Amino acid sequence: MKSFDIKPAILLKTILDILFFLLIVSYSGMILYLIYQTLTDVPLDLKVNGNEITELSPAIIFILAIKILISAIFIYIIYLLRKVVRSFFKRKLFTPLQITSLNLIGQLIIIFSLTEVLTDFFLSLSLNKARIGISVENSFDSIWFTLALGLFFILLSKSFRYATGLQEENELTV
Amino acid sequence: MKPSNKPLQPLKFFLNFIFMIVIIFVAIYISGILLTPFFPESKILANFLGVPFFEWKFAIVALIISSIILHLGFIYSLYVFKKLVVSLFDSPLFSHFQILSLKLLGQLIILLIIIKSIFDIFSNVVFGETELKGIHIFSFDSKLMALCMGLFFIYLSYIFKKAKGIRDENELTV
Repeated sequence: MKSFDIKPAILLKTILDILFFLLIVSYSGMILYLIYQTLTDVPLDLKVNGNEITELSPAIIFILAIKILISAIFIYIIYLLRKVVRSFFKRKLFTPLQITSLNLIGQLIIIFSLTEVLTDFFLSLSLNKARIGISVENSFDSIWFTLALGLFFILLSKSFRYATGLQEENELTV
Repeated sequence: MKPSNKPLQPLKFFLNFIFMIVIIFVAIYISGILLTPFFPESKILANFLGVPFFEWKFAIVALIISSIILHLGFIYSLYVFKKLVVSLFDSPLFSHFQILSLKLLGQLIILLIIIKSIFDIFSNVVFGETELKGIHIFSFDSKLMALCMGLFFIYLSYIFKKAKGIRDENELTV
């Protein structure tokens, strides 16, 4: 693979590092808190998406387990994004690592956002607070934008794959 | 030089669908907010902005105007995003348009996130929403995550620019 003269994105890498560190710390904190709650008789005081949870039924335990799982998926998405940004530091473009990671990031973002919507809905349902409707938020946290972002990453990966082919062809011709 | 993205056509339709839905909802939202001076006792403002009722006060009017600007900015960035995706499907890769769109999209995301943060602080200070909402770190809701996305798009624009230069050079050599 040919190497290019590109400037590394130091600011982006730093912010991603901070975000990754914060995520790891809060994830560990969350797990430790849940273990502490399970092992002691301290009354449960948990708030998920504005819903207060005071007792644990099997349905709520299941939903919380899914929430913990999708939080791990989110951390993995950030990890992959960091890996892609770091791979640009090696001054190589359109490598198989970048193509595979971008594709995986896209797929994971879609899985993450759909699962998040479903778990939020089922959590409200199990707390008898469910409302059915479509809401559109005014920002980049809206489910629609997140889905579009996932699709964009998949498309970007396809474009990178196409560019690799083009690059190899060019190198052969030269 | 066109990428062969035929299997990805459904993604394009899906993005168009998302764009249409968001436009419809934002139009309803903005019309609802614009109608509030005529119906001061309605619950629209309470539901959308957390303001109990409409009054001709600087703070309330400023909040309404900034909320409309945020929505329009969001629609515009979605429009740029949609155009970019269509261009990735239909036009040659690394075109000048794609480079500019990626940069614009990144800048828009960062700008809107900064405006939204100021908007949130302003709204909390003026209307005293003392309830802690918690840190939404495990989702695309997180401002740090949106900042990363903005920077990533700007960096991608830089990568596309480099790739375009290399492609042009290769074509000249051949």
